[in-house]
Amino acid sequence: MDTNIPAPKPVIKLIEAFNRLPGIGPKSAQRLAYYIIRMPKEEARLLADSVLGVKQTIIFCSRCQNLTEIDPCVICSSSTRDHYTICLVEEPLDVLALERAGFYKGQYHVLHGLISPINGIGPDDLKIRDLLSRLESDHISEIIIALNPTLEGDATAMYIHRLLSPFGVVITNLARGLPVGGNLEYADDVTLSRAFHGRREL
Amino acid sequence: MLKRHHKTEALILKASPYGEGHTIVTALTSGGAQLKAMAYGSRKLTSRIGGHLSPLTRVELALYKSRDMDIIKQAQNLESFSELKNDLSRMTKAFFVMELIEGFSNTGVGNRPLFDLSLMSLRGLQSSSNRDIEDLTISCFQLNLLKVTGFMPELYTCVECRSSLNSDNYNFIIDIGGLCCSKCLNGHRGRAINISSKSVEILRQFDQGGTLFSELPLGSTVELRRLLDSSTGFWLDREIRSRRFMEHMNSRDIREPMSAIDMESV
Repeated sequence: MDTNIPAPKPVIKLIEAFNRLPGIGPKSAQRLAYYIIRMPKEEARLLADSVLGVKQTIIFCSRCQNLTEIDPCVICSSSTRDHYTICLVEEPLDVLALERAGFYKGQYHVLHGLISPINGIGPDDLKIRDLLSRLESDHISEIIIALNPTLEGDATAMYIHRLLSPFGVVITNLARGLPVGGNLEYADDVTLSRAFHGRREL
Repeated sequence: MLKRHHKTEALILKASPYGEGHTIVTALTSGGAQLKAMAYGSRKLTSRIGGHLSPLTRVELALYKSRDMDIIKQAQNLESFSELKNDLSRMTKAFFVMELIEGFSNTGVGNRPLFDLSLMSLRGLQSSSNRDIEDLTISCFQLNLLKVTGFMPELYTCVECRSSLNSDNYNFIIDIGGLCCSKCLNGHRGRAINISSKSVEILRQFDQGGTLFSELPLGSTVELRRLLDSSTGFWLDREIRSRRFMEHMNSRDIREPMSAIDMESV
């Protein structure tokens, strides 16, 4: 970060704060900071309050590890949902995507990452231990692994399968294959082979 | 005139998410140089290139030279190592290989033997039939890696005084680059790794091109592995992260925390 910018210290501090966010480079950080300076005071206060509010009120649900205001979260405490099925996802955003689709009525468990040995992320860094505790205390009949179809996602899925096998619970993985709107011509070998293996009778 | 479009064959090492659906791909080109390139929109479900850019895939890339980073315009899968991707134990070892390739390759500096070694090692892992062969393949990869990147230790004379070495036990000092005689050992005593004459013999045979993967005695790899891990870790200037996960996967009970593994004793 260029510290020779002829700007007052609080502005530099704000630029540096934006620059630390993922996907924000120095130029974008400057643009955002100067946008905030030009903002009406009330709007800027609203933004600051929202940031602080999130940090003060959002906690991890003690059961599913999703982000929540109350513990246990709305999904875990709902009496209308299936409490015997857990869908395992990588991030809280994945829960939102599945809930938006609206067909799944079971529980979730958020891992908050994937195993990535190259980046030094191992099972201890994820919420896997909390999943084991849930299996020991709750009567779970099925775990649906809904992780991204990446190398790290597959490694995590295989690791969890090996870890949970002794519990005698049914472990399923989401189907892999061609996406809706995709193009067969551009599909890679692995996707094509998985699509073929997972084909169904019409 | 500057040629902005170019093609290369490459081995994908890493795919890091960037922004809204983009990926920064780290790859080793067929020329043996490290390449970082941007794949716009590759994480979107309908992306035509996303599926081809998974780590542990040999691809043909069509790139466009941009100011900061090359942009991937097309990608075609050439070799997907699907057997490695469907077996956690072997996949873990492939992670180890890829971490070291990434650490030892340089942007803009070609090293064709490094590319050949990478493919040969991954293919060796893919075709291996048991854990011993896999471990041996890993050790051979590390040794070859030190050789092709110019970090092969001195094995014939003392690194300090150049006198010839003849002993039952040898002292290996990583940071000075190889074996050290007993007279010169005093200044380095705390950092010396004691290795057997058998291991030195294997290393020498290997250096002279006389040892093939299949010829190494299976039991000899433990001492070599420690030595090679220490050497590669020293030149990388950090712990090899995927080694701990590899040991965790080898442990009897994977419910034990990974942090409990004592890396000194494995």
